[in-house]
Amino acid sequence: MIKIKDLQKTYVIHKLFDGFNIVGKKKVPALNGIDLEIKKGMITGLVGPNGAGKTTLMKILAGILIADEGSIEYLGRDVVNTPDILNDITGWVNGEERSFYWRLTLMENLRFFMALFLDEWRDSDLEDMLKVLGLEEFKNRAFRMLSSGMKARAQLARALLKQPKILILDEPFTNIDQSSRKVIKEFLKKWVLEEDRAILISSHHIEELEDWLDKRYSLKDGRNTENTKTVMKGVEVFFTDGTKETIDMGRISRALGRSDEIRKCKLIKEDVLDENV
Amino acid sequence: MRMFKILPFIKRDLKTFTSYPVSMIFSSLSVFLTLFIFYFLSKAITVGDSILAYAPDYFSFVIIGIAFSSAVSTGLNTISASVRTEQSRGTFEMLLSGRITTVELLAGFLTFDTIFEIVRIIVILTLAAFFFGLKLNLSHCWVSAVFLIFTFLSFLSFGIISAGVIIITKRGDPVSFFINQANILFSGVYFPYENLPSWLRPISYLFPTTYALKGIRMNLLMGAPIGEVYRELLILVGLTLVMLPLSIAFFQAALNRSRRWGTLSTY
Repeated sequence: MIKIKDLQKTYVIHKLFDGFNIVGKKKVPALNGIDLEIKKGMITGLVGPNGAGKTTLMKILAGILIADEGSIEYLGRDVVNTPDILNDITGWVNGEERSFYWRLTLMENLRFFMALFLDEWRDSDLEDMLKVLGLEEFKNRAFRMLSSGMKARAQLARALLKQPKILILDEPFTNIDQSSRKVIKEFLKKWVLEEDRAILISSHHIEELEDWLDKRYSLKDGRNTENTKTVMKGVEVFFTDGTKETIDMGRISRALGRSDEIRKCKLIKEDVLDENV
Repeated sequence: MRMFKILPFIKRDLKTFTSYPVSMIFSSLSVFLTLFIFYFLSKAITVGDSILAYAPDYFSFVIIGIAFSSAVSTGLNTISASVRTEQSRGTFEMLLSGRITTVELLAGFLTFDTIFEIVRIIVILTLAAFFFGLKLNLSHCWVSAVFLIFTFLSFLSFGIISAGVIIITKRGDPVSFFINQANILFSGVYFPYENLPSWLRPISYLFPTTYALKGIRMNLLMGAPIGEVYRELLILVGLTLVMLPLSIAFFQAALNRSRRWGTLSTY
């Protein structure tokens, strides 16, 4: 559906002075040649630490930013320099609860953005979406009075109501409780299977989405890294007498013999190549 | 330009405006205070020929200046203030991800404030006429309406450029503030520009409001028909036709530049 090749982006910060130093132009590289493919009917995950380039990549795909180099192929055409096309085909959840008008109600907010996003839309579509996302009874509540979880769901509703081909979700489940997450994940799983649709998602809690993703890309410092998964290697156990012992997962029972003497434990994690991805 | 893209902005701004009732009440009261201040000031000063050339008294002169120069401020400040507010609210990027043209976006930012300003001008003039004895000659008042439209549009061009500057440099308000103050000084809002020293007077000719206020005062207070003020109007129309497309192109270029730099939402 979308093929990204060698995508590069550097932020340019124009600052004349920093204190008494003349700075001028400062360049901050964000993407250093990303390759990625978003396939029809699939949920693709982006994993990586803060600053890995996930949000930058998502903003480029949502048509908010323009990449410096590389290509984004959509329907056989390179659309990297045409943000309007990317804008048209994507719905973006930016993880920012501030991106609404807090003096307006939830319904007024969604109506405003619908009018902006679409040339024709119906209130009934909006009502249906609110029902699916469990927001129906809060539709007339001022946005500022909604809980963080409701605000997160409102972002999802706004993105879906745009009728996108590709749903871009930047930390969509932050502040959403477990049971609502399950409902939303099930809804999105069905949504993506409809004609010409795909989802790209980033999350810090990607391990929670592991069984939900069809494909996963790891990013670090604006580059693709090997597809990896995090595994538990063992536990560092700190005893009350000041000693510590590193125990691998298979031998944890040995430490449990001294369980009343344990002061604290620290999990040891390691990223390893995931051959199933 | 599609109206159904602009209407949601008007509804949004009206809802936001009315959700601050205290601010609404005080801004209405401030109109009355302004009228009182200038009514009593006009009683305390003796006017010279330079004012009598445009108006029967100082109160009439200054009220026209104040009422119409606020329209200039709206044209100058609304777009840049809107961009700033949307950036700080975190909604600017979301607006740009809509299927909306640059002209529609600018019109969306502007329409509510413009309607509000027109209502404000009508309220000021009506109150001044009913309670403070302002005598308006409305026989050719459409001429003043045309003046108002083109004064607003010509200043809007500066406002759009200022908003473009904000998008790129994240600072622009000092530019608008300076133009605003200079406009008050040079274009005859509180006193006729002819009272300026002769070496400063040429600067007055650079401000569209100089021509607008002259035409509006002559029309509304002295009953001058279009034939007597068409030169001033032509200057305004010419300025608007040149500046408005240029300013929109500049704003679009600023948006594109900011998209490349990745600084759309920073402020």
